[in-house]
Amino acid sequence: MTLAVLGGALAQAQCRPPATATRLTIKGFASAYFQQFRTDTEQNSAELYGGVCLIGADHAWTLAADRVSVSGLQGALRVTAASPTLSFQGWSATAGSLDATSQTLSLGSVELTGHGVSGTAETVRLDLASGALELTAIDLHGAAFYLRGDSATLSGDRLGVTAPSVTTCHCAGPPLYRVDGASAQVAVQGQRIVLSGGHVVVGKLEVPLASPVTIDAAALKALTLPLTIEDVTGDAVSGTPAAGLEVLLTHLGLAPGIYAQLGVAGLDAGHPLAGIALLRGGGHGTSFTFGEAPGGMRYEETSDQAITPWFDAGFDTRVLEPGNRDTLREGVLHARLHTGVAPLHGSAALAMFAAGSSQQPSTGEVAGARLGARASIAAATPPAPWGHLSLRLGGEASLYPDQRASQWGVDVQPGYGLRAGPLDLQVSYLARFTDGGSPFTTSLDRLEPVERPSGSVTLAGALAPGWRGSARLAAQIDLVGNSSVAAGVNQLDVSGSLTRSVGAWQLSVSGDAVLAGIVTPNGARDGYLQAAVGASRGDLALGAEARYRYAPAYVGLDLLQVSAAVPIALPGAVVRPYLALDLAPTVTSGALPTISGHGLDLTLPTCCGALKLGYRDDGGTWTVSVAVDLQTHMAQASSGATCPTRARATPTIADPAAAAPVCAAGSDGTGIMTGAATGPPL
Amino acid sequence: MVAVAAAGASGVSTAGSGSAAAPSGPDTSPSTVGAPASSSGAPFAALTVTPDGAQSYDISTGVTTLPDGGTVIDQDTGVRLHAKRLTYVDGAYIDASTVTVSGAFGTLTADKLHIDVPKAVLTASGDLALTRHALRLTAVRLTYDAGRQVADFTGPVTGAAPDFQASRLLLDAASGNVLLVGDYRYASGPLTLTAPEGGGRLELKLHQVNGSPVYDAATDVSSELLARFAAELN
Repeated sequence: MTLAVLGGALAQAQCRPPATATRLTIKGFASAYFQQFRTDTEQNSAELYGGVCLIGADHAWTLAADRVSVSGLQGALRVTAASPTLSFQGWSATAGSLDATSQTLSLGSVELTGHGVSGTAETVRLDLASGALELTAIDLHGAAFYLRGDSATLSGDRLGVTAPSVTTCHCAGPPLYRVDGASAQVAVQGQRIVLSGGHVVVGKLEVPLASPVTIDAAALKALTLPLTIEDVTGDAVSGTPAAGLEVLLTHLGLAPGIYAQLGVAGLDAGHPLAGIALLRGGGHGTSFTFGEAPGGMRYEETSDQAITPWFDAGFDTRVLEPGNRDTLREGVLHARLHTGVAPLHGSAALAMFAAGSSQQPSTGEVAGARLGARASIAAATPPAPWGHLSLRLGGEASLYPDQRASQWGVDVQPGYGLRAGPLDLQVSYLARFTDGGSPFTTSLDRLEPVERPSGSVTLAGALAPGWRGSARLAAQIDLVGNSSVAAGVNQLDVSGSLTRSVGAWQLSVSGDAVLAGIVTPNGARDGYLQAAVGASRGDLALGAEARYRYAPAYVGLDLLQVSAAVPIALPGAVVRPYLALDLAPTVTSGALPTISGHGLDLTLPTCCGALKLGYRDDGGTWTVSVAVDLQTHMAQASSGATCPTRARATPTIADPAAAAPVCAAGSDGTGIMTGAATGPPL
Repeated sequence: MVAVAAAGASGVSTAGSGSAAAPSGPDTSPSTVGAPASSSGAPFAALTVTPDGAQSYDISTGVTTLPDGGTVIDQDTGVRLHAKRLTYVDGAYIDASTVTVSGAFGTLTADKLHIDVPKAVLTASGDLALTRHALRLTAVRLTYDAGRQVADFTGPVTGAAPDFQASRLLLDAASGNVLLVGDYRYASGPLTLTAPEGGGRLELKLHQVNGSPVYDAATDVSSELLARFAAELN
């Protein structure tokens, strides 16, 4: 209703009839204002001419034309016009022709503008009853993208496109890349496209993408590169082996819902070189992984389907063969009942499973059936000025018929939380009681006793104009030890930071103290004290950092680092090298400083946006990045151009002959894109 | 039968069987009162009156009264007028009530009718209705210039065919073309046309489609029609 009213107001604004105009009501269709009118009874028609303005009967649309013909006065109504302009829900469609009935408006050879977008469509069809707008052969051009599609439906600024083809490139020749797909949902106002069944097309190369994939300025600015470089240190609890330096292509799309991961691990000294080849996929509650990874072959398949809003069921199958050691093979059927418990501000769940498992730990093979059930309930008090209390209770029992064994466990976890302004306080106590009766290991299902108080307190916020600060204290104590953790203080972290803006400079000071390793020297974590200062202005960044380590093997200064990242403008590119030197060896032993970090960022202006590539190795922590900055792209493109703030040309990528200057305003008026539309169609 | 002739501008010759200053008995035989002064074809120049019943003639005023009504026929134009009551003065005027007039312009009914014989102007009012070809309308008042064959209906004027309403309607009785003037509304099928604020003009042009008379509407009024109604529009 509101939409209709707003639409009506907009429609009136788009086509304001002069007071001297004659008014014609076309029953059930529109009101028309014009200068002249005549009927032709022999042809059963009428003609309106001299600045005709049609306003839909529902006031949702207007149509302006020099001349409008109305036929079928004694039968099926038909309205035709040449060169009409339709205004509808913020869109303006100037067409070669109009052919309308009392149910639909059909436009041919349409030029569309609205919501920061302009372009063309072969036809536009407006269903007067539903308000649905259907378009064919669209070719749209926004501040951030070009979009082409076989057909589309439009509702407000939401465009559903079939067979879309998208690019952010505005190149003199063919676009460097485009993304084709099966369908797309476009939030035109936000210049955001969510594309399904997509694949990137670069020249002759087509690479399938994850589905769905989002294309907008933010997504392009923070692209997730399908490549990771990391030092995999391993995790004893999860059984992840230490693979060393690993380079992995994380997402090589093969087909909708199926992708491959390829890579190499153990590139550094001390780890065996190993290949990674995994096939992954999934969708609709299922997923699978199959292939070779460091540690051995693996096959995992899971399915979890919501049968009803309160009942899920599924199955898992796993085969993990980490080098014929700790091999796990199992199949699990599981079902879960769950519900919210509003009076308790919590939830309750009951899960049951039946599994056949085979494990080969170092102590020998264990194989057999597992049958079990788990129940849990969580409750809390409503948030109050004094905070809130919470309690989680859980219990589980498992039977191992082949081993004539059983296991039970009970979890009790009370907690308290308080959020008040900049203060966030969380305290909890986890107690787990169990007989640890599982014949399998803890990596599968064996439970171990836990008595663990933990808590954290955080203060964060603005301290004064230009100043922001934060401080955090977090602690965790294990009162009983088990195979994973030793008894004692296993977390005692203190950290704080302060930032200040001085003109264009951002200054920062931070400090961290990891004290658990000091309080509990044999704990899992080394202790250290660390302090850092930094200053940045745009892409220029300077920093200094010192760390004093308390480890069983070493106590003393182990890092005294100075670092700098300095942007350098080159013809056609901006490079930003990064270098960090560790002066600790010099201070402690008179040795030469060592390079503790290095990196390089490269910004290349392209016709698809400013392409930013970079890598950084910060003390063995590798990051690689790629981004496309459309804002930079648009700002650079607009420099030196004479575009007015409003679009004066609306070329399409399907019109290579449209060599007229291109100038389209961004939806927020901040960005424009310029150039000459001389490229061939997508 | 009585002939009411207009001789020249004002000369009227009257002859008949009416009695002077006293009501006569019924005399329904058609009679011609005098002979037409000319056969020029001028409207109301040669009228033949046939009383339906009694008639009286006031010798002092020259007024003839047909209290039971009668029929008046214009011999030159063929216009036929029938009224429930008639009063006339030879060569000057005719007053009629509850009248039906038929002629080339169609069939007109009205409560009151007055014909200014020398000016050849007919005025009618009261429950006024006109039917002719594809035109059927009702109005409040009619002024018909028989010499120019222009009818000026004022209103509200309501048309049943075509479907319209207007504050004023001008009819070219010769061609049948119509001009709606002022505030009007015109409907045709799903279309309803409304005059612009302050009034306007809409031409309804009569023509034949498949042998049937129909009206087409146009806001762009032809110069010929404007010239035809120039006297009324000025």
